[in-house]
Amino acid sequence: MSDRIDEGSKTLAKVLLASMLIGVGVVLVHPAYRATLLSMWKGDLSASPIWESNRDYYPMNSQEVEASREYSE
Amino acid sequence: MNIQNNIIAFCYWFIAGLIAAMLWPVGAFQAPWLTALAVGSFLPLIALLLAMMLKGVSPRTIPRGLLWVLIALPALLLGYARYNAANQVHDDYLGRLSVSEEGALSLEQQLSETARMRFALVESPGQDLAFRLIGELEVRTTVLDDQGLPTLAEGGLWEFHAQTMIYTSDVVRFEADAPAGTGQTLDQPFSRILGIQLLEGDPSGKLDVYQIANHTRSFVRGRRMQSPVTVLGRISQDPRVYSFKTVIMVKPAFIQYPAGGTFFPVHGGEIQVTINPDMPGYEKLARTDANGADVMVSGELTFARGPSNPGGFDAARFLQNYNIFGTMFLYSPRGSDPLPIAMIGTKEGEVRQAMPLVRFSLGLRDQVLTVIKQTMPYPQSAFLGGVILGLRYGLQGVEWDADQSGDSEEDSGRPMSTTIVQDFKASGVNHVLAVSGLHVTILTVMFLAIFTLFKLPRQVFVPLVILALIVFAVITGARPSTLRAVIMNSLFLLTWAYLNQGLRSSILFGVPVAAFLILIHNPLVVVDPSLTLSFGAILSLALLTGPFHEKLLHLQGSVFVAAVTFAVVLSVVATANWFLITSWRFLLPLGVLMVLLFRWMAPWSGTEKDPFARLRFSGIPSTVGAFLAAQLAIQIGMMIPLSAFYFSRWPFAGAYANLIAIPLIGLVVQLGAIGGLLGLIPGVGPFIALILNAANWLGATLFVDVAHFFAKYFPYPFVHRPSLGELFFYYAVASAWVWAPRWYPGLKTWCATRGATSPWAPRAVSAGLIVLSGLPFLLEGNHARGKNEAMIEVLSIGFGSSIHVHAPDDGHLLLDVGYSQQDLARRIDAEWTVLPYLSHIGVRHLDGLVLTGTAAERVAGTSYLLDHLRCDHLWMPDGLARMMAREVASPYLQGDGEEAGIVYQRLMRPILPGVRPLPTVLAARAPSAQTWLAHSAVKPSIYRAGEVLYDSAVGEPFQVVMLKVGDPYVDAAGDVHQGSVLRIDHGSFRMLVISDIDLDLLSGVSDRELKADILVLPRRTLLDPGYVRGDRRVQTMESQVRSLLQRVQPEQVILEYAYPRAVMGGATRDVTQRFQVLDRLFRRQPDIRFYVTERTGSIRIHTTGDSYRVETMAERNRSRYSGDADNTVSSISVGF
Repeated sequence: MSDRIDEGSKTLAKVLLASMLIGVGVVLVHPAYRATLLSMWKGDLSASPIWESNRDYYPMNSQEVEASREYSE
Repeated sequence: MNIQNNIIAFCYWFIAGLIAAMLWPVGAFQAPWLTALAVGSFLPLIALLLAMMLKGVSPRTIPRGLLWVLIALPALLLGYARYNAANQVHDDYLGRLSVSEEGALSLEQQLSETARMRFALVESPGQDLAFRLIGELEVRTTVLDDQGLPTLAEGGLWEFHAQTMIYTSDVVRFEADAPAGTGQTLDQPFSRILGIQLLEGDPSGKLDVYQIANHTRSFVRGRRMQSPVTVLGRISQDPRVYSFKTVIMVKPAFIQYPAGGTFFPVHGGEIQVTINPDMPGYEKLARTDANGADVMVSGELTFARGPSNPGGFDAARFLQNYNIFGTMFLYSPRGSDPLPIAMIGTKEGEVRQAMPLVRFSLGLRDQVLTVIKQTMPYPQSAFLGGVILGLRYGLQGVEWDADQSGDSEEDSGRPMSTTIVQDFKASGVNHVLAVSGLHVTILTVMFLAIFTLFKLPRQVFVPLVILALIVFAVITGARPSTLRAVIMNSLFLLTWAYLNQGLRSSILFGVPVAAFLILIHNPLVVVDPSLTLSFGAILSLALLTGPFHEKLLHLQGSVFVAAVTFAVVLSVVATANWFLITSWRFLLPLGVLMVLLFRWMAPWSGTEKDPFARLRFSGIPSTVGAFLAAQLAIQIGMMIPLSAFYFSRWPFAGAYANLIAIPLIGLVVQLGAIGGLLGLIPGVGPFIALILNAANWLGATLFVDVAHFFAKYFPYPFVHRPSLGELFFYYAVASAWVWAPRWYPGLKTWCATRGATSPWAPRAVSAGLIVLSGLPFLLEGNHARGKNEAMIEVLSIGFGSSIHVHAPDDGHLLLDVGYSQQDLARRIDAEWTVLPYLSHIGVRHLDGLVLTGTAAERVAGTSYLLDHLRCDHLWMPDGLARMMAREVASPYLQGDGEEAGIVYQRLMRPILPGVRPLPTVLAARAPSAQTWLAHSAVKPSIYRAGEVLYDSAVGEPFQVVMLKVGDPYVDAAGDVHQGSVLRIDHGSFRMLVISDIDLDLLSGVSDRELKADILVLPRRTLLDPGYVRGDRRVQTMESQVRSLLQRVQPEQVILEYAYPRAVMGGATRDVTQRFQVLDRLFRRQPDIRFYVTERTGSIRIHTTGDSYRVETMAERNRSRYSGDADNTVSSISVGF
């Protein structure tokens, strides 16, 4: 059992590494991800196309985040 | 004494007690005594163990039989008592009413608090009784703040002004000949009874007096349009936020009943409150922080609906299983009306919140959700939120290709895309949206792997993993399936970390313990799909995977190749034509062929003579082989029987789709959870989350696309819904097979000792035993219909129409198939109501479908129904046939018919996914070799006036006769309008079905022919006749109906009606007003019983030929819920 978990933890580490590499590829290729990376870098959430696409998904959550950011600014 | 085995036995006996309580419940009044008895029954075991400890004797010396009784009996009683107590609310018995000669009242007990009372006759009084009660009432009125809202003291106690008043009740009256058991409720409450004022007779010793329980259920009413009540309570759960509404659960502390009356203290039950986004203050309620807040809510407090049709969804029972006994729908206030809902803070202005662990968990969820929304585009974000946070409501109504098909609405005429949820259901992967054992196990493995990576000893990190799982359960709403998995995984982790035990023994121990812990808390969820599917899955995995894997490992050489070929052929055939795969004409020869093939191959398969000798199941990598065996186990043990039982459908694609979906969801959940948690790290966290979720976006997209592919190309058929007996038999056979290694050798020995040494002897005995044990269940018929009886069920499907006729010779006829909505609701009556109803009553084959007119609410679902059900004959009016042949419609259609009328659109150019044009369906079902083999040919016919559509020679003469067919006319949109008059005759019983009120339709039919016991009134009555304008419309309708009644002279009239917005659109208001006029008209007809399907649910008519009786679904629901009316709260009435 412990051996299998050891093996599993190594697999998880490999999967995470591979996902990071694939993720970097997607961020570079996908325009929405690219724009989101830039907006995150600038700290401007409203310019993120991904955040915008989620505006109506659990909208109260969006309003809260935006309100707290405005307040902190 | 093996402690673990005894605990397992205790848990299973407890479950057996629950099941016994479901089958043979006791009255609510006995429940408290039963609970005391159950608790008392533990005393012998405890006393024995204590005595042995004091004497220093080991408990292992207790005789096995005695121990068995000492464990089984209390467990059984506890389960029995717990279910009875949870399922019923009992009124407190105050005693038998007694009046002294001086006129003083005496009762054994006083009221314990402000409450209402009810009286029940002990015996028929023999004289009229009338009296009033005199008593005190503590009138509570809320202390209001500056804004006119109730106030809370410290500690969350509501503040009231209390004033005591003495008053005399209304008269309580019993007739002299009222039978024993007759009850009466006194609606006026008292806090203390002081005396009685006798008006007539002497009630002494004749009446039992009860204090009505102040349970939420006592204040709920069945009908809308009632006096609103005010509830002071607390939000008890995380609000469920949809894009168009928010649903909160309120646990009431006080209810003001009726409006303006006193506030009753409330003990038990919760209320589901639905709030629209335009409600002032909505934004404060539609958020996590609202959980735990004190609120004041005012509105109509009503029951949730029971099923409207047999086999329909029972919302009342579903909610009750989660302790919800009432529903409120709040509407925005008009003008200066007070707000219907307000959050109330303490005097310091602080609004209370949920307990710290819940607050922490839900706060964490909101933060992770923010990370997901920042790093994953919609709708993949909604999918990820659903699978790792349990926020599945975000996916409601989202189309698969939401980006491309923004204009796929009804008006555009373009085909609509399926929704993601539809795809998930049809492909059998919907389970990923219900957070369950799969998710909990994935996260457990993930946490184990992470902690192991840091080389921490398991004794140290296991408690942390368990804490994380508890937080996850809170985040996802602590549903039974999640609780089951968290309890089982925690037990597994504990036994692994501290007792060094294996997985299988943990499962066999964990399943009953988890079931016990969940059910002792809430025994009503024992029949909830969430619980049974979850336990079904884990038991299938634990018990069936091994035996299946073992059998599969035996497959080698040609037998292996033949088995794979067999599976592929069956899958291809099922995908191409589901009717073929369920036809004995096809299956029997194929089955015989396969058996012969296997028997021929078996001796040499895998040997040197076998050309495929090297191919074998054991050659597949062991992980993949075990996974395939597990999938087979899940399908056989859970999906096929339980999906059919709960949903009357089986997602055939599930067996294949899950081979991809389950490994994929493991990846998506782990990446999503790690990304979501890492995203919380200030600074670099969101960037890591963005990169991880970018990769995960590929996984999520692939998952959604895989589901869409399987939903599109694989069938999602309606299947036979097994009865409880059949289900029991199925699992009994499965269990016998699983445990065969234990009992089969014994049977072999038994046969040998009786001289039967042939290897076939024990097999024959086993087969005989199985057949014998299953015979009673397999032969159980449909008891709803008596011998030689006909049964007619007028279904309740809104403004649409569908009537099922079950003839005395067991033939089945369906009159009409209802409407299909092509707006956001996407509701096809045939899919939602008609087919589930037919599956529920065991009908998978119709002798005929009769379309009695051309109205959309009668014919729109025709092609969907025919695509999912065998039907020998389709009868239709000639106008419809000519429209399908484009004879009559074409001259009126513009272009390709995009501007066509509603009937033409539904039948010829359907845009709903999964619905084909009727001519295409009929062409595929025309008589051919394939349809003969599949037993699926449909013969379309045009009916004529005077034609007998169905004739039965069993019992009294039974006929379905077409009396008259109207002349068709075509409107400017190409729609044909045509009606008919049809009559069902059974002996002296007659039922008339008229599809239109048009007077021309009735001309030429004699009064003698029209005369009937029951008239199904055409809903088209409510439409504008077209040639009448202004105020005369109502008068015309009234005179038409009066004229019809005069000619038919019915005893009972049925109107298939519900709020018609879905069908009538802009004309809704007019139609509703005309319905109210019609309703009033029938109230003035004392000799005619008037039924409206919206109020009564479906209406069932039993006829023997010389008598008939009518039974509504509302009556059936009532008898189901309050069968023990003498002992339960008197105000319970499940209504519509």
